[in-house]
Amino acid sequence: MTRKPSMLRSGKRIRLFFAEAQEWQGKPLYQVVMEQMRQHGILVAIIIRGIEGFGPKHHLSTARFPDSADNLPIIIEIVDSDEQIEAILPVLDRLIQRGMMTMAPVEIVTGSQGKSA
Amino acid sequence: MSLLRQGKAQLLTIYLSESDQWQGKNVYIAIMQFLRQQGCAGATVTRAIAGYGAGAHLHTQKEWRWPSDAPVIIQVVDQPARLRRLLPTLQEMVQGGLMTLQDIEVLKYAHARRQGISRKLLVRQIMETAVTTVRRETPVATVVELLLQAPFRVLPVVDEQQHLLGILSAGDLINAGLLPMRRGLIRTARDLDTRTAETVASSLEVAQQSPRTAHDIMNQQVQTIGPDQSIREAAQILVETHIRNLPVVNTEGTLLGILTRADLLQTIRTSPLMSPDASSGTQPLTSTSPLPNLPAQQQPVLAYTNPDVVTVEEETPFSEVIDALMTTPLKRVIVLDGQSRVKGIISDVDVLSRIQEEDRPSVLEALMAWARGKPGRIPTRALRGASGKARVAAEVMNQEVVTIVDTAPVQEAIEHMMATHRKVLPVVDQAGRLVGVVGRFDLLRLLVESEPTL
Repeated sequence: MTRKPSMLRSGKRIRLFFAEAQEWQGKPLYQVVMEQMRQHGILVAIIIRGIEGFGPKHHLSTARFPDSADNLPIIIEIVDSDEQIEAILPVLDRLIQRGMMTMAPVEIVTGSQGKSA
Repeated sequence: MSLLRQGKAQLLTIYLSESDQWQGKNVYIAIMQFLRQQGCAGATVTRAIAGYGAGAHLHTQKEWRWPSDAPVIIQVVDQPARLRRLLPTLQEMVQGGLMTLQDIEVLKYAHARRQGISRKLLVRQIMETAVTTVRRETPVATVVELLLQAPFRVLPVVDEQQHLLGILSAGDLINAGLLPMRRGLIRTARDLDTRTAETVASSLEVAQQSPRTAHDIMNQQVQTIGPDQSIREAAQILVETHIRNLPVVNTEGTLLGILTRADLLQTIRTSPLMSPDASSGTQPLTSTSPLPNLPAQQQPVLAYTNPDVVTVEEETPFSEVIDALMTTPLKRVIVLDGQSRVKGIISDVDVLSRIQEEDRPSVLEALMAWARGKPGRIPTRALRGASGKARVAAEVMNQEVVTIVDTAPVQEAIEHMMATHRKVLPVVDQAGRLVGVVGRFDLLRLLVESEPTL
């Protein structure tokens, strides 16, 4: 897909918060999310593994105790233009059955050699 | 309302050094414990691989006192009101670190309760801790003013050590002749126009000149709940006693917060983005078992509908509307057309805000008389509209009535109710005909009833 290069354009940053052990049809959920994002040609998608976290059920997971360290928090950050984000929201909605999804507006500035947003 | 909701929220980001200490503990661990205790919806810690500007040691340190001195980042997404409340304590704990707040939108917040309602949540996780309280010796005038501004319709009375001594509700004040009518009506009337506001102000003079104090009128038989009881137990109490607010008190009798009916209903809400069939996404598709019994929150709203409701027609005279309004415990009448279809809803607030300015003071007087238990007479002039013709129900009704179809899942009723700030929804059949009403009280039963066995 070709997109018009420009210096600044408005976009969105999506953050997904869920747990490392969550699966989607037998595969790690974070892996499935990343594959989907690549297939949809999303500009940026990165995975960050947390060292500690808790969710609404208040189960703490932490890297400090080995026995609870196999289910650490995962954050996936996704950045793209408004239209692209809009297009992938239904995909994300289907994938994230448990967890949180937030969105905030950003302005995207791509590097001089980078692919255009 | 303490659980996170879809929609506008804030992201609090805390930048610390992993080795920063707070009362002998790593500060990030201490903060996570604090956030959990405060019932935050969730928080995540990540560790950066290098950095500066976060925490006490990073800019100056030469020696590495801790195995890792990397920056750690705590991210918390929650309602702005709660984050604001936590900020002072966090500020102290964060010391040399830094925090940022950013507006964000929560698109989805779903936890594992597709099969049921998390009745095991604890009261402390959802209670509201920002509570306005008064002392025993607080004058009645102050009590009334505080109560009119407070987020809840009750004011706990506490001593210097925050021990709960009693509770004051708007109802207690009305019964004591100190509040002329219900809180919502006073608040609306004050904002309508000068003369109406003056009428309200003069009716509040009784309270302002009263020599009595909070102690004289407070109710000392207070139904309370402990912070570690389940929300199911809380719902049970609210259903049995018909009260709307439960003070949360620990074993020493110290007031910790208030749990409201709205807080409890909030726990049943889930993402509007989550379609009902999406919930089977992670379950094996080969399952041949029949559909399990519907979880309680997907039962049709009809099961919780109260058929006992007062209705009027569009052409019903204004005087009859007032009579109906004042005698129904629901405090609302529903306006129907000839085919029993819902056209509007009328509350005392609707009446007051929809009539001409010059008629408001006299109608207000009549409403106040009703509140004192003496049916008031509305002057003939106010019974007529601007045209001189007799005023009818259709002229004072609120047409923006939110109805729900009787076959809709009860969860949807709660979503609508909370999103539109309604306390009562008319329930209609497929043809739009009125079946009854469903109120917040009726929906609380959801939390009390046991799950269907799967």
